Amino acid sequence: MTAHNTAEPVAVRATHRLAYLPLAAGATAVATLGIAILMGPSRITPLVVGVLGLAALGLLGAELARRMARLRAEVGAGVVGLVALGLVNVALLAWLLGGLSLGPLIVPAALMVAGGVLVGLTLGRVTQPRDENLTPWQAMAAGTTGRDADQALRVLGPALAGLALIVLASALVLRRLAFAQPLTVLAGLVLMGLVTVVPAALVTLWVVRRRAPHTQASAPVARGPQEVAAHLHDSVLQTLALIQRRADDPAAVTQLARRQEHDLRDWLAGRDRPGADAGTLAAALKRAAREVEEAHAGAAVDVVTVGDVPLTEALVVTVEAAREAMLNAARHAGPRVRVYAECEDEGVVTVFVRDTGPGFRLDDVPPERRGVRDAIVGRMDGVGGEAVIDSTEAGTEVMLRVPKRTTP
Amino acid sequence: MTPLPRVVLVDDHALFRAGVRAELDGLVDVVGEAGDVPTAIQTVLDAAPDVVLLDVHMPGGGGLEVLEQVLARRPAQCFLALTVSDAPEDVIAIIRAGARGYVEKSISTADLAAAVVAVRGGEPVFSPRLAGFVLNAFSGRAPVGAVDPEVEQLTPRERDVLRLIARGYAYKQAALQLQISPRTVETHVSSVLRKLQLSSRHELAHWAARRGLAGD
Repeated sequence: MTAHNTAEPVAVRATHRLAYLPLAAGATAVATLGIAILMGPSRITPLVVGVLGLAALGLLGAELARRMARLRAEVGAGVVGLVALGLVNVALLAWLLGGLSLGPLIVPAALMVAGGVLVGLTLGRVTQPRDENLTPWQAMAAGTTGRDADQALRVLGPALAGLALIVLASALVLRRLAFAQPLTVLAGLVLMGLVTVVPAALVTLWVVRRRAPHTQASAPVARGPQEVAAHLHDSVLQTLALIQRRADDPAAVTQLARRQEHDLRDWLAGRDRPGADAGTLAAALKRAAREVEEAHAGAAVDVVTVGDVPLTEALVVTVEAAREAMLNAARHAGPRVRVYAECEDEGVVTVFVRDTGPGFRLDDVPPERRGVRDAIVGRMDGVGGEAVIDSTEAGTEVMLRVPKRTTP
Repeated sequence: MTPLPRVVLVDDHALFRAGVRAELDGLVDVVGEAGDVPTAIQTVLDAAPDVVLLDVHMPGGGGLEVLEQVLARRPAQCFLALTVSDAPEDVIAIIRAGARGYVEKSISTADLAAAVVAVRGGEPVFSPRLAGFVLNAFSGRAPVGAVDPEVEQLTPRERDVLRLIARGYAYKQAALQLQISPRTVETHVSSVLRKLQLSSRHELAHWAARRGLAGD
């Protein structure tokens, strides 16, 4: 997720803007067709213009809602957009169909706003701050495609109620029209429902298929650490922390505790799905750190990253070299290893692996021991980077530095 | 020899308090304990300890409430946040509220005792993760408005110091590396802490949460 944010914001923005296009096209087509059937073909041209305007305003509303979601994390996401859409819907209907003063439209407008708020609040609940790149529909899809049927119901219930209100309001408007035949009114209702639901469903499906990993990654966020037994997890973390602190000697306990802690934190952060958050430098370094922890009972490898970038071939090699450095540190210096990685603005990535062991000198390492020379220095040379090893009695620090874009 | 730091432990988990108390025995003088917010406020005000070891997450408003209530009545009270949480919101909130340091509960006993002594001496305590977090927040990668415009950005020197702390250097080692005095390192760190306390908590925290800056 971080990679999307730091490295490809333009692409991502473009993608989720595009996600509105089928919504707009579908809504426009169905609405135009429907109203044309109701009104007769003579008024098609003003109708097309009006419906296009409606669609555009609706999109604007959705975009506004998304921005709201970014500014104010949970409450009110989607409200502005849907309220605007509802009001505009009523006003345009009045204008398009003519012969109606705005007075009798107050009740339907209020209903529509209420429906909009309901839907908006639902969207707001599933639109977590982490999901700033998702459209409300995507967020909703993420919420409803979760494993939990109850959760889907919780999300869908109010949303459907809101939609029902919107349809009811539309019905009131249509009833005031000069079409006496109930069948026509019914057809109008169905069409309005379709205008709202079908494109949304299509976009949702399309988006879920296209961006499955991203959407899946955001799904666990919706399950909400606060909601789901927050206190339990807190307690587990507390106990784990305690075990870690007291395990000066029995290394296996520490290892187990750390592993458990990582798992739990991943679960809480929604990173437990395969493929989630993979493919960035930070994720790869953390994975390497855990592998080292698992290979060396009692080792604790802490990773701190500043910035993040998607993995390139050179960075994959850098992570391998860093992993080797962590292994060395855990093996010879242990137990605490610190990894710090920074992605500088100039496109340079620097990784530090530091321990507080007795230290060594590269010159003292016998030539047959190839670990440091090949696995660290050699690797970095191979990708146009460099490795600097600084070892004193106070500890050893391996610095790996690689320009972001090197030709491998 | 300076007397042992007088410490009050605030944590809603009795097991954890007992553990910390046992470990810190002989290193600090635990003069009080509290497991909920009202008791904590009263105990801290009564005992007037050198340092309060404060859990961020507690029922009834949490550690933040304790911090704010106590500091309103005794602005000089020194707090060291001790937590399992690595959520940026928590970190920022607790620092903004006036805690002088932030350490993780998995810190070693020796490091914890050293951190208590450091905050008592008026020295801010930055864990590597906190240093990384601050670097991220002030890196210029934050969107416009995430950091108040009137808040100064980090100076290059402060950045250097934070980078070394994030790499796991102690203040003294950082001073050696940068060829400046440990006193100067402390000054830089204090200044960073001040800037962090002045920054716009809400924006910063939300921005950080979206980026998943918590590490692991």
